[in-house]
Amino acid sequence: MYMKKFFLIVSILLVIVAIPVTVYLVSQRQELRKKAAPATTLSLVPASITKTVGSEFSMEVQIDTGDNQVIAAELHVSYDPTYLEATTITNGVLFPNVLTSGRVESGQASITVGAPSNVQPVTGRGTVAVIQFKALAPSASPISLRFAESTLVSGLGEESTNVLTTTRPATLTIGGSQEESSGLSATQSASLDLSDESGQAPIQSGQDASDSGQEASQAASLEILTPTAQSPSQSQTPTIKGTAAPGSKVTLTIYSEPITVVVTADANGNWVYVPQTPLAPGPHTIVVTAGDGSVTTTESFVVATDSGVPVSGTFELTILLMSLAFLLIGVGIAIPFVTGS
Amino acid sequence: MENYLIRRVSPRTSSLVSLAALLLFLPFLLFGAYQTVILVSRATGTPATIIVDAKAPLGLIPTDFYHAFSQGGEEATDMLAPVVDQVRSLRPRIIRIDHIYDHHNVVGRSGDQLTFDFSSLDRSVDTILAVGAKPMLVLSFMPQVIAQGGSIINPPNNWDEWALVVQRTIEHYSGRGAKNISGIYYEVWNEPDLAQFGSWKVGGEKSYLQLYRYASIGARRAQNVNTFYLGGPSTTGLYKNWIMALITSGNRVDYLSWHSYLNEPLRFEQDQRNLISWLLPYPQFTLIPTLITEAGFTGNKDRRYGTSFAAAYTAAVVRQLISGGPDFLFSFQLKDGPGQEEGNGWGLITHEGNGKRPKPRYSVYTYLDAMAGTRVNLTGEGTWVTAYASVDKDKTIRILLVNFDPYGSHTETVPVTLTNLESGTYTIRQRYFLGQNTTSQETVTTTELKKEILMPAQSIVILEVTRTP
Repeated sequence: MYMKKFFLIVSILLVIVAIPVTVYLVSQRQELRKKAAPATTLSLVPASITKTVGSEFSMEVQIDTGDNQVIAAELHVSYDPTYLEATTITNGVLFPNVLTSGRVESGQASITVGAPSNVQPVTGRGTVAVIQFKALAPSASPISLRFAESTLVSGLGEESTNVLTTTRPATLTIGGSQEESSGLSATQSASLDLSDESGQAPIQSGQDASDSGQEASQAASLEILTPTAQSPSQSQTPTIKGTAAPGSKVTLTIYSEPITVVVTADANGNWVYVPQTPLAPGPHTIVVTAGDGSVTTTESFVVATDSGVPVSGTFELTILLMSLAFLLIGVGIAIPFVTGS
Repeated sequence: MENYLIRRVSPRTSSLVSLAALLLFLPFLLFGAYQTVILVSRATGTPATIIVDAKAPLGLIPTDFYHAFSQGGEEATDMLAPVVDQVRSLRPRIIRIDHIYDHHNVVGRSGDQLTFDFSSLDRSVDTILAVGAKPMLVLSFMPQVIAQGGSIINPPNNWDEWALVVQRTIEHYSGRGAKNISGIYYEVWNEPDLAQFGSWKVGGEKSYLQLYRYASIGARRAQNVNTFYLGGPSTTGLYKNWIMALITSGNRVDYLSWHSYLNEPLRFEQDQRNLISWLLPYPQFTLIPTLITEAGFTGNKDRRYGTSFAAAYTAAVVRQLISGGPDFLFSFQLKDGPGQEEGNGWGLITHEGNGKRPKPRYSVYTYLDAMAGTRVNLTGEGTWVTAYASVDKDKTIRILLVNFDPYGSHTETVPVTLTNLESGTYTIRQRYFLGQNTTSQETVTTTELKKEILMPAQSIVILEVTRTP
């Protein structure tokens, strides 16, 4: 009789404890998601790149503002000056105001840029700054380019001065050969044996697709229609559509895999590409270039996770927490029956 | 004598005398060492080795921001009227005047009521409009009829009267039913921290923040007006405590202003960096317009304002602010006051009593305009010679070099290398500021072109490189 009452009380206590614990833990995860949603991320793009000694190349600093309304970004990008030299750092289109001029020193490139105005803060994804580099010496292993701790992003209406929560560095491998083997290279596209929907075979990215007289019309028509920053892709092989001058060759590079392909716009100026390799869930950027590279447009988008929305927590952890809660409840209910009381 | 001293002076006395001598001469020793360090640091520096990458764009070069001018109040008249043609040729975007109340007798009193007569000030404003510029009006100084003790640098007896003065001023010049001018900058006081203008503080009994607060109240009460801007603190330098006090005061602040009398052009760039670092924690103010409402190499009258020293200084300062600079950099000032025949006035133009002659600095603004276009990357600036480069729509590359030595007469021959050029024949023109032009042709077979440019002290040159069709 005594034991029966004991197990009954224990089981009731377990149920009483399990429910609020479960609710609390799940709500904590939800709270974390809420907090993570407005977090701002800075990334160096491309995330991985291979270059040869003496080659010059650019890297973009890209921002994902989350839900923040970003006013300014103070960037400090560090690198090993033994291997790499920055030549310029300039503001990206999202931030037309240069608040402090770009400064390149040994091992660090810095600039502070601002949104168009307080009533036009920056939201969404795009380019904050562009850094031009020159590879100086071969590296035995990949070297890192990263944001210094003094990097800061300020947003309107936030309690904290710095709304930057995550920075994503990039790695660079510098080979000694003069033959460039870039991570952006066309070799990957060649091996994919891609063709556009018109059935035409792709051309090499280095092939000249237009003369300078076509640049104006290409600039006017070059556009990425889907996917967009406003609509996360539900597919890991999203249909990438756009427009360009009719018949022109368009080079697409999808970061941060990266994948480079060349497609041809049809007679109406439409082009389309579907990645044959599924893209990883998360943020991606498409850079589309026409002509000799002088006409470029960029679009960022998100490949959604299985749950349909990009979240900061993990689905597996939530299931684990719920299972623990049900286990506790189940044990609490089962004990009286097992003990036969 | 020596033996006598040894015999008659005790060791203790001798030590005390030595100590006293040491204390007496120590300041002289330190001063001498300090002067030596200054002389050595002036004499040493890095010569320039300029490299221009013709295909590395950095963004458009602004040219409006330095077409801004301040005119002091050395005469209680419409000072610019006698030099209106010369001023117009400067293509000024904005002209700032102070002493608007005390020099133009705007405010009077009739019984308990204030009366307003803007007719004299209107003439000055009309002259500014006539030269194609926007007026910037400094709300200064305190009208005598409302000032404590009748002193124009004192607070008013009644703060509401100061607010009313500001309100009526804004309604008169920005009002749609009056002068109907849009986009006027109203600056609260001039150099409030200076004893000459009142020694205002950011707090205490003679508080600039209180002066500003009632000015902003007056601005808020202004009715039926066009867009206008209210700002300050217009201090003698960029001071963090004044800037922070103003932006955290809760008052309307549309722009920040200060004066810069700095003989080192690099300090202008450092000031901009400091200001942004202070404002970044206040996102609502990070993008606020900034105006350096008076600028020069010294706030004192100086004969060098009449020489190429002042022109080279201006070009060197513009170089530092060509990116990440203020919205306006106001050169002080347009015209000399009277009685400055010895040539030490701040003016770009001598007084009408002294011939209305333009000084070298007068010509530098339009000279700099030739650099309009897309800025391209330039490296290798030195201690004395600084530079920037541009490419215009016709693909002419221009490199501006300025040799400004604040202390002496440094001369330098500067190697200039242009890279990433297309092969072909190029016409190279050297345009010395207020000096000779030389033209030559060179054929580029690689992608580089090299020149050596002689840069005498306080000289400016634009190197124009154009590919021959």
